[in-house]
Amino acid sequence: MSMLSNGLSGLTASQIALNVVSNNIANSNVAGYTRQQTVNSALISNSNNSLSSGSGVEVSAINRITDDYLNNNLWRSNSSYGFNQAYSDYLGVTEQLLANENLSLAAGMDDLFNAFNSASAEPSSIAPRQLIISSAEALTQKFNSLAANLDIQRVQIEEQADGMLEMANSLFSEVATLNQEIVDGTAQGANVSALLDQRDETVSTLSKLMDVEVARMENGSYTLSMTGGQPLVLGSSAASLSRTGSNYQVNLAGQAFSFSGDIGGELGGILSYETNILDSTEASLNQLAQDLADDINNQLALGQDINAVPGAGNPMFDYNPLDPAGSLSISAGFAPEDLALGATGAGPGDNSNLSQIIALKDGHYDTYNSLVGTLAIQSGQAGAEAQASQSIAADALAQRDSVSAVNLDEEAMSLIQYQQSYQANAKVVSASQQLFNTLLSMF
Amino acid sequence: MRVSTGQLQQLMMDGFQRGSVNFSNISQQMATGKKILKPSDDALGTVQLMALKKEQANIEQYNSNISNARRQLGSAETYISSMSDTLLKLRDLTLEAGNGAYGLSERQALAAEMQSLKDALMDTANAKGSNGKYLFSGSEVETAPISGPVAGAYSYDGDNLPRQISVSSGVQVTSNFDVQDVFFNGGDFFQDLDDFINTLNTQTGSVGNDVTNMLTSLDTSITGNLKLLTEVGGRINSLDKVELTNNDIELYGQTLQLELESLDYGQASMQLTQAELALQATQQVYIKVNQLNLFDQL
Repeated sequence: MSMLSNGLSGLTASQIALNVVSNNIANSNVAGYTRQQTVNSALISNSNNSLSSGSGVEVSAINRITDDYLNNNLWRSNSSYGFNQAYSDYLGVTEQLLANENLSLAAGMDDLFNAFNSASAEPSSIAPRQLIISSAEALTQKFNSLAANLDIQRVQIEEQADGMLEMANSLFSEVATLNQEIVDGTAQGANVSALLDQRDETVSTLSKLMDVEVARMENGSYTLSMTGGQPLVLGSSAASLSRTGSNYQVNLAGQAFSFSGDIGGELGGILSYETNILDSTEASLNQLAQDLADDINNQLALGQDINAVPGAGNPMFDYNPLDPAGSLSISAGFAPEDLALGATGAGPGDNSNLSQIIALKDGHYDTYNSLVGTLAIQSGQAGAEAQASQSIAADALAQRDSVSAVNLDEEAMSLIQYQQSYQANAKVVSASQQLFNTLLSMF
Repeated sequence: MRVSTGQLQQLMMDGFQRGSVNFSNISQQMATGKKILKPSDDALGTVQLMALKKEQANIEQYNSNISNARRQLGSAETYISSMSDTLLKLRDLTLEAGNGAYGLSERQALAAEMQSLKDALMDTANAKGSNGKYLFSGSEVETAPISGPVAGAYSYDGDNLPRQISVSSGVQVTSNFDVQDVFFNGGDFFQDLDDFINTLNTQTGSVGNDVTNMLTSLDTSITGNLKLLTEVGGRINSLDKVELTNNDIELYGQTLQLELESLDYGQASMQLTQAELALQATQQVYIKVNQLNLFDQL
């Protein structure tokens, strides 16, 4: 009697569907969880009887509701967001650093040149000369401390880059392991949905760190590679990234490929910041320190000091040419009397060499000004790009979630639907029993 | 479009975040009173502000230079006008010595007075400023301008180098003087004066020729000194004018600076209210959305 078995097939199908619904509800807060749906199909009748209605229902599959295109889109936008965010964060720190009132070279130069200017009224007195030396010293300290801050940033970037490379390596092997488990599980006919979710989440995390190209293989595994084509994950084998200075290498199965730091994602962001902004800012700062020191030293060399001794050979500023901003200082033993403010041959009350020094201000000031201005513009741009790519990434996530994530109202409806279906099928079974009892009671 | 439950929560959370970032930005602006919190908020404004601040610092320095120069010129002016008085007094006495009715004893009395005036004149010419440096020896501020007599002759030991002080962009004022042209313009004034006093003390005959010669020497000095007096007056005058201009520029700069960097509190408090409203609205929407849950109805 097919009524009983039909009822049974309906009960089983409803149970499976309720299991799927409950799993969806249970995982509704899991990031990257992909909702599942049962696919029911009617079983055809086994007998060659035109009056046989069918053999009930079966769950032919549990579908994982996903869209490869939306996932790819999410990963790409993650990379771009990671890149812009990291780039803009560091740039923001640097612009703040250079504009900081306590570190500002602009204020430092104002102080130094004002001190020179103050001495022009009484070049033969020690007090204004002392003021020049102490302002110059304060300026050198500002240079030193800016240089030190940029050095700290470089160390931070390299440490962070190493940490990110390590993290990327562990994500590669995670994807490789999941690849293996998915291929095996699929072959055994298991539901690998959770593994697929986990792998997509891993790729998503990875895509924040760097650009990755994902190719989907026939057997269900992912092949990951860098945008330059260097392989990262092939089936169950994972590559490892390493760095020596600014030489980057990817090693896979004993083969090494080199790559540049321009690899997108957060990793690419901080490395691009290092080459595009940090290096040039440091270079400008060094150039400024060197030019300022040289210009003032050279002009002092043309004059004579308070005791009519020529200034040549007694520079006020001293620095190491390999690291001008970091090492700029007042020459050891340089005394207020040594400042060659007067023209050679003039009396101690002469200030004509001093006037030449005062005239040096504007050029250096403009250099620093334009450095801060350029950084501000770049930082503004990077900030806007970071914001734009953030909303693009949020949008990509929303699009993926609108297809794949759980909606509790929807699940509530399914719950009611399959609950009712279960009750109806149970009724069918009980009706079939009543029919049978009716038949038996006849005897 | 299908919306997942997680997405709704995320949307709300983003709203909260945006709202509080906005709120904290405005409150930070209000706390500091500044529109520009970091250079990239207004890159052009930042660069303009830096240039303005430099200009302000320059003007402050210029004005401090002006008061220094005014102090130095002022004390020089006192001494120069005192020299002028002394020279005129000497001229009167010289004219008086030419009086044909005067005998030796009257001339000796005149000579005594002229001797003391000469000493005073020397002291004035060798005067030091408040900082202990000589005022009238050019750049040789450690050296007394006039020394002597050596074998009856005096010498000028200073130089003629001007000490220029910047008082405005591109404007300089000379803050020192030298008295070479006053006392050594083609002759030796003090030697002439010594000789004349000596003549008055000793000569019994007519001193008409000596008086004429002394008057010539005196007039040269008086002219030289008058030139200094005119110069010092002119320089002090120009300082006053330059200072007025500086103050105008400073005021203009301050106005610009305020415009560029100061927060408009009225506008900011309105924005703050708006940000607060937006935040509250988002919270209310969140509560409403959370009530819309089918499970609540089961």
